Amino acid sequence: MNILVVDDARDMQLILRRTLTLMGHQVMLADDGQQAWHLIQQHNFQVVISDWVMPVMDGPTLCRTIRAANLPYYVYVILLTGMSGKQSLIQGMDAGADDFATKPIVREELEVRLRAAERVLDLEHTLEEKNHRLETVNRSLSQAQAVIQNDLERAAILQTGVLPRQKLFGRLCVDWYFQPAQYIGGDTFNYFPVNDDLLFFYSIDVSGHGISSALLSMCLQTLLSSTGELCCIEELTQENANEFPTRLAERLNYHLNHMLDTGDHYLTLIVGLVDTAEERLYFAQAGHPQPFLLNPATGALEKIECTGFPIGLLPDMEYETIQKPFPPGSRFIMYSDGLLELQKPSGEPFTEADLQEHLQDLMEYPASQVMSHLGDKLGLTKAGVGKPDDISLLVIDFCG
Amino acid sequence: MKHSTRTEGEFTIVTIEESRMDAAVAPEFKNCIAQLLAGGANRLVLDISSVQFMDSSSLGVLVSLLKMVGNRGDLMIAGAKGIVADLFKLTRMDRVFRMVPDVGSVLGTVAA
Repeated sequence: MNILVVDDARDMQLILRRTLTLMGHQVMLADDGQQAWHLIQQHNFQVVISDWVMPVMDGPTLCRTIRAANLPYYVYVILLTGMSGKQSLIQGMDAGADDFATKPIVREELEVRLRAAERVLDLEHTLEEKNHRLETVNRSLSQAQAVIQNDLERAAILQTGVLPRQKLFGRLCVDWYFQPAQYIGGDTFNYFPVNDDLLFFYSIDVSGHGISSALLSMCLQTLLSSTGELCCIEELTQENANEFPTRLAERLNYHLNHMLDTGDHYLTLIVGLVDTAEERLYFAQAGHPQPFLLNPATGALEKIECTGFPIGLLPDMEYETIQKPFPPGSRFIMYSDGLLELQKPSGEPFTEADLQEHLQDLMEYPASQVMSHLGDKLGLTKAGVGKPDDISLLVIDFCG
Repeated sequence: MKHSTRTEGEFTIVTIEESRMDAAVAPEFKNCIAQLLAGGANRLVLDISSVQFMDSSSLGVLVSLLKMVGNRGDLMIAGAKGIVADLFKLTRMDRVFRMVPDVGSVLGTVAA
């Protein structure tokens, strides 16, 4: 080992150097603490054997200086003392010494003490290596995380990018709100006109949230697009509009149970049509939260009582189409259950009835303003507040 | 996931001692029941009367467990209430699972 011997007595220096050199160590000498500290900064000593009482800088002060410097490697310090007794031991340990020896020191004793030093330094070295490896792993993990985060941010922009932009279709005004729990999510929706009178729409919530849910929701966007293989929009006419939602739900359920391996994922949805010529609304419900319908005659926002099997959970389920009058002045609202996982400022859970009440209060506002008002009321716009689940809401108004 | 298991005659009763069954506990829950099934318990009663909230991932796990049980036995749901019971109704899972008001009614004894 590289050992520094610090002593103001020349004879002591020479005895120690001779003994240590014979043991196979490399030895340097210093006359006091200050000289020692200069040498320590220039050389890599593993062990310092220092006298206690010295001019300029004594042993305990040297010890404290070494510890305070926080060197990148460990220096094992043995303090030599002529003094005995508890008090000096306490002082020395407090200064950061690792071991003590009383003068005069004999070879055998020095040998055991240095073996102890070696054990500690070995441990220290192993720890240092492990720390170093951990730091390397940590760095690569942080890098990987940064890459994933960046990817997710891009993906979030893309996922929002597939959502419909157009919000006016003749007398139908549509608006929506979309907020994934983590960058991307399993909620999605779409709507597009089939002809001058029919508007097709759906609102979907894939179970779970995160990457796989988001990818399934993107996959559904494709399957249910106007040119998608499941939608078969060309089959749709005014006459069969009342069966179309059922057929589509059944087709989608078949597809998810037999054609697409969705793992543990399934989805709830509402899919339907607004017919402005017949002034009717047709939709199928598959386990999605019950939608609200504003009755323009009474001004009341009513919850439509309906139940249905989620899609992709069990094969061969039957679905039905619900029909409702949809005269001018009507409003239809669908949402995902993420809204019902929010908390009120009081800490109580936000319920279906609370949502209905809020939406009833916003009845006078056009669809385009409902979202911002609701967002304010529910604190959705607060930045940095994580949401427990994906949130989406879709409003369709038949403007009078 | 906190739960306790006991056997009463041919029934294995699993009591969920969590107020939330969500994505955080769903995988563990699935593992735990799947192990019971693998161990030969095929008449299961799941007491969820302490559960105040259940999310879609836990409902998905319940259905996959029901599929595991298949025709070999039963997976009964006991004590669903409040918004948990509403979730079973909304998704028509109350028609898929055998729902019972409490464990006592399965065992044919008077519930305390």
